[in-house]
Amino acid sequence: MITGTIHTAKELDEVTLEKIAGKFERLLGERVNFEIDIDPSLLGGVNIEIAGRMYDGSLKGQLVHVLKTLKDQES
Amino acid sequence: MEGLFNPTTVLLHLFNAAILFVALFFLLYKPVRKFMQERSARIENSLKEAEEAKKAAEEIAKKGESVIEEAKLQAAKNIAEGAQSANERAQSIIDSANRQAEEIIKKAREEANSILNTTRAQMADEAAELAVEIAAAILEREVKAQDHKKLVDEFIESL
Repeated sequence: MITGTIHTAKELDEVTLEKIAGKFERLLGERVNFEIDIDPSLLGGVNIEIAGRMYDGSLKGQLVHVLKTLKDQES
Repeated sequence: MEGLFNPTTVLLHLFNAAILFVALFFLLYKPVRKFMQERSARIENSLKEAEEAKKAAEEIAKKGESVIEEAKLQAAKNIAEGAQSANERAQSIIDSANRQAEEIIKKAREEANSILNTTRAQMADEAAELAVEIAAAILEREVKAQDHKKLVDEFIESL
């Protein structure tokens, strides 16, 4: 079994949690177990850490990506 | 009257005088003549020597003047060369100073451009960060629970 962490901007319901677990079990081929961390600074969406990787689906992450793109264009 | 003028006495005196004259002639004339000749020769030699010395002195004076003239010419030449050399050195210093000034100006311009570009980049970065902060502030206020759920569902589908 692999343990990971879900960082979420708001609380997640059980259905959503099961969807997430099912997805990663298919991806990793193993059973998974998640810890939940509510982080309002993410603004919206989730940020999942598991098996040494980060899966960023948060609004904050998208804004950071936009900012980086703007800076790269300027340089 | 006979006592005053005696022909015999007169003749005797004349005879004495003649003998004296002859004696002196033979005794003195030749030596004196020789002496005078030698003296003339000496004087003539002295005059010749003086003349030669004078000529030699004139020659030396001419040579001396020539040397002095040559030295003057050389001194004038050295002064002229020195002046030219000094002018060239001064011009070289001026040229070097001009090149240094140009280099300083060029570097100052490059530095100013660099600072300007850096400042522009920083301002652009700050503007982007500010825009993102404003967007984040708005999103934090506006994102509802259903928006959050929608985001999560879309994210899961994308995996």
